[in-house]
This record gives sequence, structure tokens and C-alpha cells, in this order.
Amino acid sequence: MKFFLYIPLLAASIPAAAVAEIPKEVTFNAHIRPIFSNTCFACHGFDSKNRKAELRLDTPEGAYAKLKDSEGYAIVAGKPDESEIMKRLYSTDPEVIMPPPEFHKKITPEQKLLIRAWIEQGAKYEQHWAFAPIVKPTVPPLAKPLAEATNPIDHFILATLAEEKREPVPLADKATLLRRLSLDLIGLPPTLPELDGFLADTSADAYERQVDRLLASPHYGERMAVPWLDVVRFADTVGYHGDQNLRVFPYRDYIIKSFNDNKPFDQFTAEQLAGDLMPGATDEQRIATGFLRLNLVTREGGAQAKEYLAKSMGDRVRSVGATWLGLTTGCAECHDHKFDPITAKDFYSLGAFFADVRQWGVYADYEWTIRNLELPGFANDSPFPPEIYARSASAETRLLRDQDAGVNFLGQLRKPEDEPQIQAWADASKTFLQANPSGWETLTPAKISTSQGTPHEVLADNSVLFTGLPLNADAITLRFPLPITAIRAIRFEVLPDAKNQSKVGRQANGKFTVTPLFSLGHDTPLKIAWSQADRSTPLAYVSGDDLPLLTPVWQSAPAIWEEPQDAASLPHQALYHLAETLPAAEGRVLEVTLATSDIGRVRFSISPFGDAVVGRENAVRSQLVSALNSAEKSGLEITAAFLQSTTPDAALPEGYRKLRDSVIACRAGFAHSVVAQAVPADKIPATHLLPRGAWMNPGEIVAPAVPAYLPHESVPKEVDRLTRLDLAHWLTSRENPLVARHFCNRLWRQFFGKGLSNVLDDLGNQGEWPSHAKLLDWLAIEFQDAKWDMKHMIRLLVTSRTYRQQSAVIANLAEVDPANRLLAEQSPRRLEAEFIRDNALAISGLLNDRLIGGPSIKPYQPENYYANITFPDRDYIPSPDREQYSRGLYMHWQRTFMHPMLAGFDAPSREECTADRFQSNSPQQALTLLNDPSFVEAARSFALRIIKEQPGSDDSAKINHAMKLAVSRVAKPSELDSLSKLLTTQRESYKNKPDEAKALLAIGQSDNGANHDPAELAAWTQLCRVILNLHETITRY
Amino acid sequence: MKPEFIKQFEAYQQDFSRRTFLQKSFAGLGGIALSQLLGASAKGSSLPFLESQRGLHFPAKAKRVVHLCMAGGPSHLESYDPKPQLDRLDGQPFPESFTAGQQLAQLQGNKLIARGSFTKFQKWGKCGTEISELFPHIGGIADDICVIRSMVTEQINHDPAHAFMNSGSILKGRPSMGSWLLYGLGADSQDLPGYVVMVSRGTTTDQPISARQWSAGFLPSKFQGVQFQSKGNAVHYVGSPSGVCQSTQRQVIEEIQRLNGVLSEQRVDPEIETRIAQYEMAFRMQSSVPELSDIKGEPQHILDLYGVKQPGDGSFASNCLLARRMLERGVRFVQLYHRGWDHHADVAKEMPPAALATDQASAALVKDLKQRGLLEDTLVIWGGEFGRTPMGQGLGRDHHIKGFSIWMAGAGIKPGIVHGATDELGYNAVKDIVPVRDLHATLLHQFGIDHARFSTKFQGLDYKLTGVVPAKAVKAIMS
Repeated sequence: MKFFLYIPLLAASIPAAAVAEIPKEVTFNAHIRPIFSNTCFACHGFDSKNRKAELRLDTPEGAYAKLKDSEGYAIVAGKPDESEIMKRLYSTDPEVIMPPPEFHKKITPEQKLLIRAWIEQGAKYEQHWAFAPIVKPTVPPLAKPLAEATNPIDHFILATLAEEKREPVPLADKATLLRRLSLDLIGLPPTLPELDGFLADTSADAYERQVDRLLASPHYGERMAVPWLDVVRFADTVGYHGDQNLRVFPYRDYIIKSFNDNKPFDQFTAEQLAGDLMPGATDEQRIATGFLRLNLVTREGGAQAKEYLAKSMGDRVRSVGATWLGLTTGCAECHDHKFDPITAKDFYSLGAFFADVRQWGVYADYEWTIRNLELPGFANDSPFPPEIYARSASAETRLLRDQDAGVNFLGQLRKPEDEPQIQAWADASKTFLQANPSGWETLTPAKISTSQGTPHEVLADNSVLFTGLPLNADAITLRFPLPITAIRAIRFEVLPDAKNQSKVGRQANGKFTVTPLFSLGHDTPLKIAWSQADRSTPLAYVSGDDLPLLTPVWQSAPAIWEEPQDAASLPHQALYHLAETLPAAEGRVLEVTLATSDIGRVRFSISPFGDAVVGRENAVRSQLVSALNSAEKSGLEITAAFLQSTTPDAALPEGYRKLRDSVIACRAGFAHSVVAQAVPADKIPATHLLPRGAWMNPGEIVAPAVPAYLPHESVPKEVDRLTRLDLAHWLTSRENPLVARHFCNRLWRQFFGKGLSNVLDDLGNQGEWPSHAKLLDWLAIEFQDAKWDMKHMIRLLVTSRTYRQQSAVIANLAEVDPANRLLAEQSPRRLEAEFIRDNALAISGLLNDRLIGGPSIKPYQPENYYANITFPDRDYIPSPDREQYSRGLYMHWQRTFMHPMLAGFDAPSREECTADRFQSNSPQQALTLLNDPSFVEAARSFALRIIKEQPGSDDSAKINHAMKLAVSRVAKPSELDSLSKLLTTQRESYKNKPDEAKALLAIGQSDNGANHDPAELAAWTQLCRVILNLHETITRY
Repeated sequence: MKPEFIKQFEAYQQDFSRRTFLQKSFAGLGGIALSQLLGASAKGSSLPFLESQRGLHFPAKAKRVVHLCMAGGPSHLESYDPKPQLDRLDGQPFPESFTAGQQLAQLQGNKLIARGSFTKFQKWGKCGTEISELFPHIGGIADDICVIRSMVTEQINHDPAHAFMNSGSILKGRPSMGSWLLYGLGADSQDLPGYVVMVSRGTTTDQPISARQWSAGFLPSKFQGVQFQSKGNAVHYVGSPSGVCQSTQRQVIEEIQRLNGVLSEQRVDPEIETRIAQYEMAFRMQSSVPELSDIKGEPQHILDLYGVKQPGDGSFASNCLLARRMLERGVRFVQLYHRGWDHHADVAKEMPPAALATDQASAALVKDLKQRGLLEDTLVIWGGEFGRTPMGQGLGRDHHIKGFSIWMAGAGIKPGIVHGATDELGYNAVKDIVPVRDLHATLLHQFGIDHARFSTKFQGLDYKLTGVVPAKAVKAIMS
């Protein structure tokens, strides 16, 4: 049977669409569940506490059972007229009608007809689609052959279109396609060589090769990181109250690298949830657990630890729901879920998985309120332990880059009059390196004394071993005869030794504290320019971070709760760079005085070189060694090393010192990152069910468990306590029906604008029946079969015909399929906030894209924007130099005051996990693109780029070049005409107002084109502002 | 006889509304198309919610609201809630019967000592409402305001308490009440944001205020509050770049519009039209915002009324005057934070400056709105995120959530009354208790909105400002 509803009201305007149709086959999942879930389940569903009349309509048993208060039955399969619910639905009596008026929900006549038809057809219940096992559907055949459709995705899409008697649009042109693909896969527009190369490539697999190129780009990981960082709520600050800084950028690096390495999603999952529990956990796996530390935390005085621990647990359960399950688990914090079969017990049992994570409810120790002796002295400027101190690839790359830049800077400063000295220096250096290939010469102790009589011995490697219990206020003096060489740096090593329990220090915990003094002979103290240690416990913090330089006092690692916890068993070293080079001389003695109580085995070395980095085996760069060994001694390396090693520190040029400071800031290639650290098994706090979420009234104790209503055969049974690793394995087990669907659904949204089920954060009963349920299941199975290969899935999506078709061309789309769910064409999408920035920077040529990863950067921001943040007060200093032009995903993410550009373009504050972003269109966006100095500067840089890249060509050629950079096509005649006129008016205007031209060009810290005619450059800047503001520029079509 | 479903079909034809049907189901595509065409989907729709409801639920008393948010939590015991019994108990142990088993903030675990009010109260106006001598100007408008002495909240720390007061939830990412109003009613101004926030500082160490307090949460970002800065551009990026005068900026915008127009001829993309409209709006804001912020034209007697020393100095007084100008120009929701009320250390020393900074201007705003005829449809709310303990914390007072005071005025609120009461020691609200959700319900009611029918879809819920616990508008304070 089939009913048609004609709606005369609108028949004239949209005849085809005005036919609302009751489908031939009415199914529970597709039709009835959404109605029941929205209007019935709150009282007649899963939540037993609030169930009315003991009737539940979410199960067939409940619906078919005899009613409590009457002889009737709610639903009699096949007999709508005997079914009580039909009477209730159609009643006009407010006492009888369902849903009751005070519930403020209505069932439309259309929906009533659907329910009727469903009962008539047998009232067959189905398991909710997302909870049902994923079964690989058959790929539908094509209704008619289409050569372009080689991909199963197209079969599903075309089959639905054919049912609706609609045709897909043709493929997009190549330029549009490459721009789309590039923006989608790496978040950057194609460069002109890339564009021209693709346009010229007529081979059959030209497009596929672009896909491969982009998937292999290191920027792919940057692009993919953005939605992941949303869903895990990654930010640089803690969110509550003073919103202090969190040290966490290595986690972002990990995410980028994982995407770039195409880490299988199951491994990616396990590392973030339980990397620390993996056998032989690597630093990288520990850093991945930063995911578990992204919950909001506080150090507000007067906050109650237990309350905030409860908040944290809820936060983590919600994050697993949002990130993996696609479920709104948060509802069950206070009560059984209203719509999905998740109980409050499920919620707290999930939370119990995270009870082992070392954490505090309040990350402070204030004298005037409750003390926190586990974080002694912690206040506003302290970090948020536990943290790992680990090698960071991005810090290392940055360090090497800035070292190179320093060499390039100094290398230019060769003066002819220095030639003889340089030659002499090079010869001496070569000789020194022949004897000491590492660039360090270890000193041999001649005399050792200790004021407290600490036992000591000299070992074969020239180290001096101090042993025994700590002795207070010891003063150790070591005297070393110096070799005949220039000296610029002293290396102080502290080594673990078996006689000190294989620790560096002699305290019970293996730590030491030392203050060294260096002098030439007994009474000529050596002036130290700066010093740095590779491992230490900082004595002070500023805004959550320690200073990269060593204070005179050196305390060994680890800092409190810091990983690696066995850092006291690892060699430590500190480098002391002298303020002036000691020239080579005979008969000198270095006297080292160590004020310490507890140091272990020490060793001292010297080097004539001025560029040594702490923690490295060699004091010199390999490039310098090669240069010294080559015949040619006039290169940059030697000049730079000569100047570094011979110029008094204070006399080094400022430009170089800035670069060196940034090398120092790279902390020898190490960085801190918050991590999960498991407390010992017997110290794991019990997890209580909190009735109504009230933390002051804990209820029964619950053990870690996955939600009972989901399949969980794979979960180990014979264990004392399930771990986070078990949780991770269950999530990516074959039996889990949600995780693969959720991931593929989110991925689909990224490339097609909407999810297949378009309530991205909720696959549960209140979510949406997918537009293409079988396609979603096919993708989910494919993802599992492909061993969770993310790039494989993306390649499938972007090589489909569906992806490659034109966008925004169907004239009546608003009438036939306003949200474009059937995908008869591609959906256009405004770029997300971060990529709007990236796009402008890339077009203008400003983008700093050579480094992947690294600490967050600070773009220009309105003055005093952080005035309302206190504890501590916050400064905002825009990032200098190239860092300023880093990509949007590296922007400092202050949860309580997001950068206005991010907020304006709908980036979430990341206080909660966000599976989807809004796409608004607001005047603030216009004001940002027009007036934010970052975009004004980009326009000037864009203008400079056009002028530089098109020397001597006319305005039209320049305009076309600009348009091609921005939107991958030349200007249309009308655009060219219009832009040319604008250029003329702006030229005239600025010719008469040179000061205004200069003021416009002065915005931003990059090259302001001082050698150009200001009026001309200002006019082009105005034109470039127009192009950067175009809707097309910020939209991926 | 007609079959039942045919009768229903006919009823359906008559009852056809803009409501979504089959909103979750994808099976009936025609239905989807139709409903979306009619703009029924509230979330993401450009149409304000109430258009989809076919108008307001009740006749509206309020058209706009100004919330004077006393951030930090002013002591009710030194402002609007006199407690002679507490004064008598000063310095003695605080009765345990009040405090046993209850959550405290910094006083948790400490010995609790009663602390009497350091200030005196007097009766004001014809109504005789008792207000402390720290607030003589507000005392002067006692006949215009309704003091509520029975507020309670659920959050005892600043950050969550502000979130709760603004959004009714302690979870992040929930819309604030200003965003809700814009979502429901739209903006009334064509060239100013509909929801504006300003912040002034106190003289002591101020508690931080997060921008999430005026966040649109899961509602579209166009409904978020726009913070006006006290220095530099009032609105971020509202000023043209240096070296770009108004006419060259206009030329740039016109060119953008022209090229976007070319694009819209070639693409079927409604976003282009919206973009064009937003650039027009942006250009209008570039002149309307500076005009609004320029209070130099205000006569001296008005500056004196508010106690503005230096117009635009970022003081609470200056912000109050700016607020009036915004309200006059159709801004729907103005929120003024004053961050000077967290008096843990020495309430007798810290509270008088905070009162001094806010008393005159708060009263002036009410008077000025009244003399301009705006008070009758402008709702004024004055209050903090919580109150302070009747127990001393050294010389200060700790946070307190079981009973505190606020006041409201204008827009159909009964003037010259006191609503509710705390117990004899000012600890628990005991009479006509007003939870935060009831305050929200009252606010919405004055705007003609039934809070129970005012919702948006979020995570499968019909999410409401007033949440899931039953709320009620406080009818007793409505005239």
C-alpha cells in the first residue's frame, strides 16, 4: 500500500517535492525509531527509573506485552486498530492523548500515518542500526554503465540517485579538482607548478598520482590533525579559572606524525588510551597518552579536589564517547540514558578505566587552604605533572635549523683582515680534532680535596667517583692541568655508578644538587656567558614553563612526578660557555669547586669550539669537520665557527645572538609533555557510582567495564581488573559496532560536507538514520578489513567519482535535496578557521611551512585581549620572525579566550570534545579578513610576490597571476576589468597620500617592500586584500 | 465513513505547519525537502527560533536586558540582606546545625566563626526596603527595584558558578543566556551586534573571567556575545587598517561585493548571498561602533549622573553609560562585568571600593533608562555568581551558594518589593527560594518565551536554557 500526501499549499512552486510519501515498506530503524526516540522513549524507554505505566516501547517484549492498567495491548502487530497507542495518538482528550501536552512534543499526522503503516506491516522491531553488528553489504550494481564509477562508493551513491530518478552532475574541471583535493588533503592550495603540472598531465592516472603525492606530503598530517584535535579537545591551556598553560605540544606532534606515518587506527587508539601501559612503552607512546590529560583542570583556591576529580572522570568518559563511540555518554553521568541503553553504572564503569591515571583535583598547594603535599609549593606558575621529558623531533629540527641559520648569518661576516687568524684558527682546530675527534678533551684530575672527607677515587676514564652517604655542605675542589689549546666551553658530566646504586647522586632517591665554580688557578674566576643542562629539576617556573638556561644551582632530574622516573640513573651533563675564549697557553690549571652534599661520579672536559650543544657527543657540527678537512677553507662553516669560537660573547652580533637564543630555547632537542602515569595497582582509588552525579554522596563501587549492552565477547574475563589497554582493544575489536562507523562517518563529513549520518556526535537513538546506511557499513567493514588503514580509506573517498564531480551547479538543489545528502553533486565548503589562515599565508608566500610540528605560536592579537585572565597575569607577545607565519593548527589555543580569528570562524574552544563544527557566515568574519593585521600583512606580501614573480608584465598578467595563486584560475574578463579599475583608483588615491601608503605598508613584521614605490605597492596591496576576501578564496568548491 | 487515516490526512492538511516531519528519517525525501525549504530546522537555520513557533508564547514585557554582573560574588550580608541575629553572634562559633555536611570552598575543614555585618542597613524610599549604607544610590532607587534575597546556586567556585549563572549548566560549550535570546528573538539592530559584553576591573586582585561566559556554545557563533574593549578598537578588527581611509575601505568592500556577485551568477551557492550581506553589515559596523563608543557628545549632567570621570576610561560607570547607548540602539543583551567582588581577605576593607565603583552608575543606569522611557521594556539585573558566607574567613568571607541577593528592575518586574528571605543568619534561603533556572525562566518569560518550549536540538536532546530539572518563572515579582 502506498499513500500520497498532496500539499496544495506549495504545489505550484515545487510540484515534485510537495508529494510527501509514505514509503511502501516502513521499517523500525528508518522510520519509527526516530519518532519513538524523540517523543516516547523518555517515559517509555530504557530509563527504568522514569518509566511511566511500566510500558516500554523500545523493545518488542515491552510493546507487545499486556498493559498494566488495562486489558489492552500497546501494540498488536498487524492490527493498528487494536493497538492502544494508535488510540492514544489520535485522541483529543488531554488526559488520554500521547505524548501528553505538558511534554511539549508533538507527533505530526504524517508520523502517525507512518506508525500506523508500520503496525499494519507487522510492527517488526529492529536493533538500532549503529548498535547492530556491521555486516558487509553487497555493492549494488549500476543501473546503467558509467565508466567513471569504478569505486564501490559510487555504486551506492548512484543507486540511491537512480531510485530518486536523479542524475549526477559531470566531473569537475581539473583545476577545480586539484584545488579541492589539495585543500582537502593538506589544507593548502596548489602551487602554480603543481597546478600547471597537473593540467599538462594527460596520463590516465594523473589524478590518482596527485592523490598519492598529497597523501605523502608532510602537510597531510597537519591537515588531518585539525579535526582530531577538535574531537580530543586539544588546547594549550587548562580551561578552568586562571586557564594556565599546559605543556603539551609534543602530543600534537605525535598526532601529526601518526597521520603522516599512516599509523593503523587501532594502534593510534591504543597508544592514546594506554600507551604507557604497553610493554616497553616508548617515549612516543607515552606522549600519546597526553589525550588523557586534555580534560579541564583547576588550581582555583577553594576548589574541592573530590568535586574536580569527579568532573575529570566525567570529562574523560565523554571524551571516549565523542572520540571513539560516537555516543553522548555524558547523559548517563546523572541518570540512565534516556534514549540509549547506557546506564549510569555503564558511565561510572567506563570512568573506572581511568582511575589509575595519576592526577589531582586541584593542582595547587596553597597555605591558606587545604594543603596538597603531593605537589609541594605548587602555585599559579607551576606546570601540570605528570609530564614526560623526552626527545622531540620537532625541537631537534628547529634546533638544527637555527644552528644552520646562525652559521649562515656569521658566515657572511668574513673580513679580509681576519684571513691570517682564520687560517691559524682552522689549522689549530684541525689539530685539536685529530687528537679529540668529538671536539672535547677530557681533563685529568691532578688534585682532589673535599671539606667533609667524602670518599672518592679517580677512575680510568678520568672521572672522579664520590661515594658514601650525603654529607652536608661539602666543598669539593678539583684541580686539572689544562692542555695547550684555546678554551671556549667546559663540559661537566655527572655519571651513574654502580657504587652509588647506579644513580648520579647520593641521596636516597639518587639525586644531587651542585653549584660549580670555575677558576683559572686558584683565584681567577672564569666568567660564564651561559650554561645549559640536558637534565635537571628547575628551581622556578614562569607561566607553567621553566627557563631553558641553568641557574648556578644544578639539581638533577627527575622533577616531581616526571617521566622518565629513573632519570637519576641516566647520565647528566651541563655545558658552561665562557664569556671570552681562553687563548692557548702553557702551565695553566683549572680549579673546579663544587658546593654539594650528594654528587656522585663527575668528569670534566674542555672544548675550543663555541657552538657546542648540551647532550651531544660532539662539540662540533659534522659540516665543520668536513670543511676543516677539505682544501677549501674559505666557506661559511669555517668563518662562522671561527667567529663563534673567538669573539667575546658580548661582542657577537645581535642577529646571531637571536638565533642562538632560539637554539637554546630548543632545550637540546628535548621537550615536556603531559602524560598519563599509572599509579601502582594497590593505590588505584575506588570508583564510586555517584547518584545524580553528586560527588558528596558516593554510591556503590564499580569496576572498569565496557557498556554492557554492546557486544563485548573479546574483553578478557579472567582478570582482576580491566585496564585502559583492554578498553582500547575492545574499541577496535571486530565486534565493536560503533568505532569504525563513527570514524568513517566523520571522515565522510570531511570530504563531502555532511556525515552520512549527520548528527556527528551521536550515532545513538537520537542520532540520524544514515542517508546511505549500507554505504556507511561498507566503509566501516572496509576500514576494519584494511587493518584500520586511514590513508586507504581517504584514497577510496577522494578517488570516487562522487568526490570528483562538480559542486554548486544544480539549480534546483534547494528544492530537491537542500542539504545535498544524495550527492548528485559535490558540496562546497567554506574553509575551517585554521585553513583560512593557512590559505592566505600560502597565497601570499608568507607561510612558514618548512617545519612540521613544534610549540604553539602566537599570531598578532588585539592588545589587552588577555586582560581578563589572571593567576598569573598573562603577557601576549606575538611570535617573532618566521614563527609568526606558521599554520593555524599551531596557534596558541587559550581555552577561555580563543584568538578572535579562530572564534569568529567557528573553531571550537575545545573545552568539550567536538565531533563537528558549525559553518557560520558573520560580519565578524568580514571584519577579520578585512582588518586583522595578519590578513592585511598577507595582502602586502601577496602584492610583493606578484610584483616579484611577474616583473615587467602588465597589470592584466599580474592580476591573472594573483587570481591563479588564490583560486587556481585566471580572472574572468569582467573581473579583470573591475580589478584593473580598482587598481587605477587606488594608485591615484595613494599617489596623493604617500603617508597613508606608508602606514598601510608598515603593518606586520615581514618585508614591507621599502624599495618599492609606496603608492604602487599600496594599490596592489588593496587589490590583494580584495582577492583574499573573496568568497571563492575561502571556499573549497 | 471515512477511514481514520483519511480523517487524519485532512486534519494534517489543515494543521500544516512549518514543523519538520520525518526530521530524522531519510526515507521520505520529499518530506525532508519540504521541511528544510520552510526553514523549520532550528539548529543552523537562519531563522530565529520563534519564527518557527509562530510568534511569542506570551505578550513580551521586555525587549532588551542589561545584566550588571558583580563578578567575584558580593556579600549579601553587607548589601541587601540585613541579619541582626548574625551581628549578635559575631565572633562566636557558627552553629553546626547550619553547616554540617555541606560543601564549603576555602573554609572547608576550618573552624567556623560567625561574622557580623561590618556595615549598617537603612530603610529606603516609600517601600522601605533595607539596603546597606554602602549602596546609597541604589538605596535611592529602592522604589524602582525588586530585591530577591533568596537566590541559590549550585556551583561554589567562580568559573563554574559564572558558567552556571550564564548557561544553566556547568558543562562547557553550552550557550549563554544572551546567545539564547538572540537565537530566539534575533537581533534588533542592523548595524550592531545583538549581544555585547564589557568588563571593568576592581581595585583588588581580580578573579579571571572567561570568554566562554558569553559563548554561543553549540549554537552558531553568530549568536555569541561580542566583547567591547575599553581600549583600542571597541570591537576586534572594526577599525580599517592604518593607511586605509573610509572611502578606500569602501572601494575595497565594493570590489569584493562585485566579484562575489560575479561568482554568485556562476555558482548555485546561497552562502555567497549571505557573504555579500555580511560584508555590507561589516561596513556599517565600522561606522556605527565608533559612533556608539564615542560618548563625548553626552552632556555633563549625564556624565555626572553616572559618575563618569573620563568617558571611555573602561570604568564601570563609563560602561554603564555605553550600555545605555547600546540599549537605545537596539542591542538585545548587554552584560557588564565588574571584577571586584571576591573578598576573601578583608571584606570591610575590600568591599567599600567595589561598592563605590558600582553603586552610583548602577542606579544612574536605572534612572536614565527610566527618564528616557526605556525602563518599561528594559530588564535590569544586578548580582553576582554567588554570595558570601556568614562565617568569617579571617577578616573576609568565603564563597556561599545557599542564599544570596540580587535585584531586578524594569520590564514588568514589580518595583519596590523584596522577594524571598534567608534564615536568621543569612545562611540558607528559606522563603520563596529562587534557583538559577527560575531566574532564567523569569527572564525568558519577560521576553514572552515559555522556557519549557524554548529548546534546540543538541546531542539528541531538546536542550533548554533551564535544563531538565523543572523550572518556573517567578510570578510573584511580575507586575
